[in-house]
Amino acid sequence: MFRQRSAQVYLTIFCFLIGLGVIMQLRTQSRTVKDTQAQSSVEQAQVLSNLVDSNADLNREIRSLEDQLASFKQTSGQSELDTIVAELNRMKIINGRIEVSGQGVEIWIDRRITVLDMQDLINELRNAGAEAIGVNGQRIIMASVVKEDKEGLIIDDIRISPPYILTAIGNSDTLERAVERKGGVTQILRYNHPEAVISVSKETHLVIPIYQGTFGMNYATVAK
Amino acid sequence: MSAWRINRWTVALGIVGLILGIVLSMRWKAQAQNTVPVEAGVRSSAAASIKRLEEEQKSLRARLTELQKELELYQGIAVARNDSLAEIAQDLDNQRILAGLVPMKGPGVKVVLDDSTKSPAPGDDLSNYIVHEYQLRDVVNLLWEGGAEAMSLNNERIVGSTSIYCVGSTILVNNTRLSPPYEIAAIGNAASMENLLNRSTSLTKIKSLARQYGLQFRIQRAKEVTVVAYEGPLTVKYSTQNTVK
Repeated sequence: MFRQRSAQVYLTIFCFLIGLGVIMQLRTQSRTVKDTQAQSSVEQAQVLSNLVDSNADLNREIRSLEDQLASFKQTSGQSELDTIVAELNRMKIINGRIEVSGQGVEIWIDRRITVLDMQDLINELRNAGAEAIGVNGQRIIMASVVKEDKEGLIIDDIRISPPYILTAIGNSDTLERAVERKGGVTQILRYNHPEAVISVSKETHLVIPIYQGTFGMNYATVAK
Repeated sequence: MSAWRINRWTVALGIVGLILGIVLSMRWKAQAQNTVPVEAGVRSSAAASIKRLEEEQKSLRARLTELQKELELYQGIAVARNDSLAEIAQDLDNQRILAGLVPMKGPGVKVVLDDSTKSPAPGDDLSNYIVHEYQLRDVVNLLWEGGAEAMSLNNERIVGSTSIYCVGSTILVNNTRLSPPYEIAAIGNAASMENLLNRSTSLTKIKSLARQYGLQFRIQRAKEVTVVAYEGPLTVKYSTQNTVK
């Protein structure tokens, strides 16, 4: 009687362990399979969509330069001047040397965030195709620096205080989608600052001022 | 002997075990059959599209560069013919340099980041052994702070619209996939950039990963570094000069 009991106990424990082992293995397997595959197909979709957008932009820019070239080839003095002025204008917009207006998004954050949060926001806006970015009335350019000290954020040596208002000109739908996407920059921000009020709105007319800083070239020379 | 006599208890247990085994193995098989081939098919066709689009991107970039050179030439001819254009053409040349459309050279620093060559200990977090996009972003931001004037990451010029982005395990810069090692070249005041990077409060996480996990991180001062020109699009489609004063 005693031996039979103990055999049953062993058998039960043995079966239980096998079952447990199989289930655990199955679960970890299905999790890793899901992770790598989901991640890589989402990843590929994003890489694809980036490439499609980038190639469309390249095509557009090629057409615009071909037009410029055509107007040079017409060799009328006025069209040459117009072409150079138009291109200069475009470069100044890119470099933040002209005040610009246009559609886009406004991100409003009511309290202090970290320097990394601000850098991530700017990076996300750039990635979504922002043509001009402003933070609390300052134009963000290529070389703009966001720093942080005990009292808060400093952009290009000028202190800014909350509320932080980021404005970006570009396709307002694309910009809004990029900023608000699941797992995106505002979702993470809201998670890290649960008490903060963060709003994102599409705007039809934003104005972003000229860059007031001192970026220029003193060490670099043309390599040709 | 009586211990091994078959009774109801044992039979029940045996049946439960058998059913459990069959169900689990069926689930396993079904799962293996469903997911792997379908996903693999989608992935390989997506990979082919990526490759095709990357080739297209390459040729579009080459065409753009060619057009820019041709335009510069025509601009030069126009200026030679018409003195009054000289000043504005000079202005345009300067703005093109600031925008990153011209290759530059000068003193500066090179920073190399690469995945660790150490093999991870069991149970280690693998992400400690590889370079992440935010680490590159931190280095780039610090270099601007240190007074960089022109910068490239591998063969991509950093311009105003550049994002250093990560999709899964892939790092994208200027919508181009990069792979390690990552080399950042920066022109500017080398001492100031180097000091900022070496400062004990800078890049503390990268430095500790380098010590602990062998993440590769090197800063090198150089008499002359060259930085490539930007080859991508500089889109101005939604912004116009604000004329309301």
